[in-house]
Amino acid sequence: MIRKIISTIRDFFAAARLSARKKRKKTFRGKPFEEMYVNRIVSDAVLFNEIPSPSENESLRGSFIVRRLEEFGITDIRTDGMGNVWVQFPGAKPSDDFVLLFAEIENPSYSPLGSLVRLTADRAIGAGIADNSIGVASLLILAEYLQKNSISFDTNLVLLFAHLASEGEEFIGLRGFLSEWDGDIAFAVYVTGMQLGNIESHPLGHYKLTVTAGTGDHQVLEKTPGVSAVSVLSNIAFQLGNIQWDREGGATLNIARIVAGLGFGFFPSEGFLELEIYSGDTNVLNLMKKTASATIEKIAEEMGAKIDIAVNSFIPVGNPEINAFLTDTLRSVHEELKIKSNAVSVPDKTAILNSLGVPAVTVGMTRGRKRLTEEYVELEPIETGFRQLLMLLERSIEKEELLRP
Amino acid sequence: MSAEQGALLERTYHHSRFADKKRLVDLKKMKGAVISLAFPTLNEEATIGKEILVIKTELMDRFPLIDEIVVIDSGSEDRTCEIAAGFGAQVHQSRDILKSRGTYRGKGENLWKSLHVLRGNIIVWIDADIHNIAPKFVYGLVGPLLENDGISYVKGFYERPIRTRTTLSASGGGRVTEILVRPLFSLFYPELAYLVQPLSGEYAGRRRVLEQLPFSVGYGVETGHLIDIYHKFGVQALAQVDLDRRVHRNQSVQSLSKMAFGILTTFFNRLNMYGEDDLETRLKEFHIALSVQGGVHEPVLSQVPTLERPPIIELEEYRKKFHPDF
Repeated sequence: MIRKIISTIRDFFAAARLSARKKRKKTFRGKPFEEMYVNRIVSDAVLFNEIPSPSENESLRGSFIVRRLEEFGITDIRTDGMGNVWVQFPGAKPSDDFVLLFAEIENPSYSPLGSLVRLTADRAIGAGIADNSIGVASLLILAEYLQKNSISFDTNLVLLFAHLASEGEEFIGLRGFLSEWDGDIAFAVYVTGMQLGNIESHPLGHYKLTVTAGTGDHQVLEKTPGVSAVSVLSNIAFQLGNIQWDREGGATLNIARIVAGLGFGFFPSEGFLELEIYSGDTNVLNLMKKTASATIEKIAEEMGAKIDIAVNSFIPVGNPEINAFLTDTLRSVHEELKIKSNAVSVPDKTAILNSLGVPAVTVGMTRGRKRLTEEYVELEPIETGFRQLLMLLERSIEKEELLRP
Repeated sequence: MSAEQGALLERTYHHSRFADKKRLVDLKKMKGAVISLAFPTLNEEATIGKEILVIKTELMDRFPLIDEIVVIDSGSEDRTCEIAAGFGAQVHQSRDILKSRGTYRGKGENLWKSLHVLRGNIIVWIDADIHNIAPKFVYGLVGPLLENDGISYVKGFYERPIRTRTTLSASGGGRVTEILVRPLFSLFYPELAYLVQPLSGEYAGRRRVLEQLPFSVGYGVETGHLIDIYHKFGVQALAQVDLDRRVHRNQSVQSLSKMAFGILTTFFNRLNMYGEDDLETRLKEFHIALSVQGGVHEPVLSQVPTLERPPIIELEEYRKKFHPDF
């Protein structure tokens, strides 16, 4: 009953917002911005989300993207051996500079059932829809919009459907693309699903580590069973928790999960622990990783356990100074479109570009949420999110030209 | 297998053959086709929005293959109609169509009545409970009709995994087809046994054929169509298309039992209609199931809709609307 009341209230406000949205004039550079583009974002996101991931080099998803771009009448579609797909839109002024827009094509949370998208009147629900599928669809529809309306910006654009291919410390796919790219990237925009309004003020770096512990195998009822993986991992968690990290300076270590043993009746001789390290300072981040690793190895040695430390992912610390003109522009776009801006400080994949000296910003297309059991995006804000992207591009290009020495 | 019996296999396609949507749109224009899509619905709020959005966006907005999308509803008590309208479909209540002819609850009833409101000379019907809808479900069915004027009715077929709340298992659907319909077709109409999924809820046909078919208002509508087309137009009018996989709610065995009752009734009516068997006994009206209450088996009688609607072309109001010159 309560759920029904909440649902009814939510629908009332969604309908009111929809009515207000329909009354607002919708153009970009005098060209009508029609609601059908929003429907195409949602529809393509739905179809894309349901494509299995991973496949080898994400070829299934890459094929969908290539087919779509061909249907838009785009002929020069490039791919590489790492699963990246990209198209270029020449700028109005001759230049070797490019603005890079990218979206990530993988779906780390894909499952055959969970990724089947369900649409309600105001939400799209399905594993992967918020994280990557809306971003990919938005970039596709941007390509369609630019192509069909013959819109160009002063600077060349590259729309990259990126196979980030995160492996250990490297985003192999993205770094591979960047290393082969011939031309200067003036700045980059990472298009993603659910962070509409968020502006990275101080992008943190992070390490995500998995620590695997192994001890001798024993029987549960042995008189002296020896050290177990549970003991080792608990000890590690306890010791790391006791280290005074500089929380004021944004340094955080979180033990995310501990799993050991097979359950009742079995001696827990194997297990793993997942920990994540955050900091807004590169030196502090690396020192934390070094300290944590040394502590773990010391404990393992003292307790006679075998230990392996693997880096699941690494995002470097971002550079808010070089991003400043982008974040300022995004803030002003939000103000004009009446989007509530939130300054956030979290790890951001655009930091990979910062580490190469390229200013970059993440743009969320809508609001949503990603929980353990449910992932969704709201449909109504997508139109505003898309207009935000167009306005950000135009104004950032103008600003970047002014700032160029 | 005789050459004639297996002829349907020569008109068995994969949807990818028709994936060039621009080509289909060009063919459609060349042939002057008007294509209507209808969803029969009853409490399908979980899936109808996605079905309409995906098909409308791809096959009306991007590629104008479909001219209208209509929902024919049987009095849904959830938000099916509101969601459908919100995503751009025209929504009709079955009871409001051909009011003077009464109303019955059943999918076949909705399909029959849809002929009175749809404009197209090609009609596509898609079930509204598909979780993995994709444009291929429509263009796969329309393709053979646009390519080949000799084909008048196209059935979809697919792998049908069993869906639970948490998993998708390997194929397990199609139970009534394999246990009931295929043996019956094999016995009486072997040519029709070459249909992979004679009961599939996704099919398309030419209006000039559909308007001449009687419609069972309930479960027997697909079976009735196939036998009637077989007799009136020949099996060469049929084709089938592989749509890969269809994920939807699977029904309980109890529901399938009632479905089988409806199908059997239609089947025996057709045997009688075409003089292919003389039933000396009148078919009974009730499906009988058994439930256990306190250790005692109790009968549960259900009246399964088996009424037949006549070919819609026999209705004066239909002829006035679609054949005013006659």
